[in-house]
Amino acid sequence: MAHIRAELAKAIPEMMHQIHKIRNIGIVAHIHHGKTTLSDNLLAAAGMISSELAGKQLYLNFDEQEQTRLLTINNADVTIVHEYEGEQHLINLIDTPGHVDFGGDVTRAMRAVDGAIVVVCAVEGVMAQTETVLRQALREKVQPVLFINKVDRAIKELQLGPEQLQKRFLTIISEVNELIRRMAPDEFVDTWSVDPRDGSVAFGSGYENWAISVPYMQRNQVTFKDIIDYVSTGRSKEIAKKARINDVVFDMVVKHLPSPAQAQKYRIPNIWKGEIDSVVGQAMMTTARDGPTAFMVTDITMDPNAGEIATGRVFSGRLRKGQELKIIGTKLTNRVQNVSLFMGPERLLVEEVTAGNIAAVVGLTDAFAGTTVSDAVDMVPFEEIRHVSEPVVTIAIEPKHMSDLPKLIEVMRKIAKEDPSLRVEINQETGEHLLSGMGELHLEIVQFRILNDHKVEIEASKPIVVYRETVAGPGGPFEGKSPNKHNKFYFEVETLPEPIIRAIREGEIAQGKSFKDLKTLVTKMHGLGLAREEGRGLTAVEGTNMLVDVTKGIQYLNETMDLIVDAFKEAMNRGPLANERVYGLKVRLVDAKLHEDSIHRGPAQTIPAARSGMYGAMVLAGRVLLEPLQKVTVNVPQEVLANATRELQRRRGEILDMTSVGDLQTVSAKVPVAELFGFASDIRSATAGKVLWSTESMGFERVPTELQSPVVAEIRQRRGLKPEPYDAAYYSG
Amino acid sequence: MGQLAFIGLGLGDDRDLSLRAREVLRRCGVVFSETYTSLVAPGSLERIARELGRPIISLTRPEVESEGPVLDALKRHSEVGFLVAGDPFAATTHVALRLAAEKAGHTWSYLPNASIVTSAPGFLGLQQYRFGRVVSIPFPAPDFAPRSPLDGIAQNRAQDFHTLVLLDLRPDEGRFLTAPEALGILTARDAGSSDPVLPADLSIAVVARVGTDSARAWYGPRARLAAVDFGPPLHSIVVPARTLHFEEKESLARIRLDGVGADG
Ligand SMILES: Nc1nc2c(ncn2[C@@H]2O[C@H](COP(=O)(O)OP(=O)(O)OP(=O)(O)O)[C@@H](O)[C@H]2O)c(=O)[nH]1
Ligand SMILES: [Mg+2]
Repeated sequence: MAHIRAELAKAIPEMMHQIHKIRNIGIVAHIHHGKTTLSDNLLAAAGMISSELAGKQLYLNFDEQEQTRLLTINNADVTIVHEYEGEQHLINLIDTPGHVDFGGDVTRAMRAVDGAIVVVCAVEGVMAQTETVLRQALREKVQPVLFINKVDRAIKELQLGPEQLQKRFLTIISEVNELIRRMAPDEFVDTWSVDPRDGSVAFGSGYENWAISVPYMQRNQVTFKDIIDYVSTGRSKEIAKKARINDVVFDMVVKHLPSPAQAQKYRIPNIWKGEIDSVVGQAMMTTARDGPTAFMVTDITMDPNAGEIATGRVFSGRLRKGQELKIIGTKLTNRVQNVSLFMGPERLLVEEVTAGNIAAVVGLTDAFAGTTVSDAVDMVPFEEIRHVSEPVVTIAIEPKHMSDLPKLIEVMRKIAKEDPSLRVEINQETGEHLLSGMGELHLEIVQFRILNDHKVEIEASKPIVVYRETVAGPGGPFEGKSPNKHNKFYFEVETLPEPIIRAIREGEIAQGKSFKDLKTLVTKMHGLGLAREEGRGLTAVEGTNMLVDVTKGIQYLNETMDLIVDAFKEAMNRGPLANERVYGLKVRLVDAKLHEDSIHRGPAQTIPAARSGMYGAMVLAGRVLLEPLQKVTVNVPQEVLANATRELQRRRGEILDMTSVGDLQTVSAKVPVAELFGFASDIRSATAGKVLWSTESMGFERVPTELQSPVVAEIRQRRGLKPEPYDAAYYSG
Repeated sequence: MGQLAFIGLGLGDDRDLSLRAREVLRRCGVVFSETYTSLVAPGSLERIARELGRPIISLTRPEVESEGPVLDALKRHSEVGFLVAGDPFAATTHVALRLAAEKAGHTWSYLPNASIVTSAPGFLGLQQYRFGRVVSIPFPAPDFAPRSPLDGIAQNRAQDFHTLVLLDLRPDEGRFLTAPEALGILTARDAGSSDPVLPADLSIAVVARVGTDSARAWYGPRARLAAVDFGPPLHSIVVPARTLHFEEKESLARIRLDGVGADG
């Protein structure tokens, strides 16, 4: 293989400049639908790895944990050269994880690419996570093509005939198109649906290394029946020779997915809110490699030798060794030590990486995943990469040997930098260090890394569910008094309309306390169910909560408002029930009485007064604890179905759906995360290992009434609080 | 039911406590003091305690604000003393405590004493009748940079009133805002304005330690005062009205920088 790499090394610098012959793509799918197997075989077919390695050992799952757990945890990047219609094309490909715990990686990969191969398993069909990854792609204006995988299984196991097989494909295609229509950016609703006739859909087996498309079948006079014959008689190798997977899939990519030059024209205004007519704006719109450097970091990885490697997309200009670049949003400057292209586990050092490509950079030590890096000091940063799901599980960790504490803190900071979907809370005062992640697996992997990669021995608590707090109905007004009794604030609370919460989560309503173009925002929020009076009084957004000021003409309130916002932030991050974060609350400031003299209404007076006012109003409104839920989908043979269902039901699971294809039964259930700890091994033993299962986040729902008090008491005691939450009288004191 | 005696300590030391106040204190079953809102000359409370032959219980801010200890004592004693630096109802007002005592069925008495609110104007020779509303400057804190003190000065000047500017202090933490610091805060908030409230050449007055043996006053352009060492706390600032009565003018002329000092 070495010679191919050497050739690549020679060819790539030149190809990088041919912007129309570049494709940046991601491979996305529901868990285990075969992304990595497909990517591996694409690499092997392109001659980049040996075909023995491909598929079997999963070259791109090179991480030790990925190998043992048989799933992808990290994005893996590779650069491949593909010949299409006699011309060499450069394809930067990112294989993404499918497990819901690592969904943040998919979100970030979508910032770096312009197109996506959506892989759907022919046996399982479109799954919840298929919808999620499509949404992640379309939000970033990443265009999809479809690969229907595991066709060999559909033929062998389900024994589908030509018509049934075709019908199955059409169902998958129309479901995918329905999702695309629903979620595509307005301007592409009509043009981004996939169509087997034009070749934007391919079918095949990543495992058996073949793929076909309708144009391919027409050109080569092949029918579905022929394929079924080959596969069912064990002659797949023969199709693999003719219908080479890389030809069909990469032809589809080159033909149907945009080059960076095309894509940046519509992607830049979507991901960057600076002045399009500015120098850097124009450079990015035209993928100018001679313009200012604009690089967005989408991934940070640790290399035992090179240290931190920042991977990301060069939207304009170039990255080269020795360059001094600004870490936008800080005052820091970093020096580029070297630049390379990723080849799975290895890197190919290059002189420079230019606009429109994906680069791996050593030296940007102050960058996080999500950082904008530029040589223009005052560049407006790229829009934040928002991952919609939030952490639902927390563990407390401490070093086994106290002398390791400083090292552990440093390691925790490092991993937070690598993995933005992990929340790290370091509390030097209490010594309680918390890691919150997307699921049990996510945290297991992190613990493993701390021990194995960073060599710190730790003790971890049992995983704890992350709860949320909200209210049952409207409550207030409630009077919050300052300790000196000279100031009073009156608050009302209720839950926000669901569409407003969604708009906050999607980043359409910004966090913080400054809002651009409030007038337009007021109208928009009105459309989503927020009264105009409240919209005009929009003061702050913290998490999914909103503070609105509906008072009129109260003297000195303006110079007190920042302190009220401080109190709001505190209250929303530590609810009155169990000190958990508050979810979806509207806090209305309805009146205030302030002391004439500013010293008598400073932080020590205003913050506790406003906080008590909000907490008190929440007590009156009826405090409610919310818990995270997941949709668990289990695939089992008929014989162990009853065991699997029992395993779900005894975990407060609510069965949502049961379907069967042949002998294969699919059960999906809504299960509280609190009940899911240990599910992986329990379901395995309950089904004698004959199980495939996946989870999908389903947001937060009310803890059953009879469970609320004991759960609240347990959380409070863990936090060192008295088991009973305070009553309204306490907050009016 | 008891009676709560609010007793001012004045601006100096224990010698400023009146004979009548001492009489009341002797009758009190328990005596509290509050020393977080203003500075009490060191040793004063100890000497009063010795004279009374009983300890004086110093209350923290949360204890006073919760009202608990004072109201409890009123249930047990017919008379309870509450000592406050300066005057109990002037610059820092303990009206909330008074109302709480009344609501709980107790009565109260008031033994006034000197307050900075009247003593600073008097010390400078300015007429009480010509003062507008008092403003105060809080310690700078995150998310709290009120403009109202500056606006207050501007409004007073627009109406040709003097302004007494009081400065934040936290005696329990040993922190006192000094006049140069306060001037810095005010001018920073004024910066960039085309019509500044406190231009560099505006003559203003600073008083320090009014009512004590080391009291002193200064008068001069704002920019020059910022560089003066006014000595130990407490400091206050007076921004004079646009026009001055001839007696006021003469009084201030005697303490003008580079002029004759006006040692108390
Ligand atoms: N029969 C058959 N099995 C396949 C095919 N593609 C993948 N598999 C198998 O499906 C399982 C999952 O494959 P992966 O390639 O790891 O799937 P993935 O989508 O990368 O998985 P995650 O990254 O963990 O989401 C493995 O056991 C593969 O061997 C296929 O085309 N046919
Ligand atoms: Mg994978």
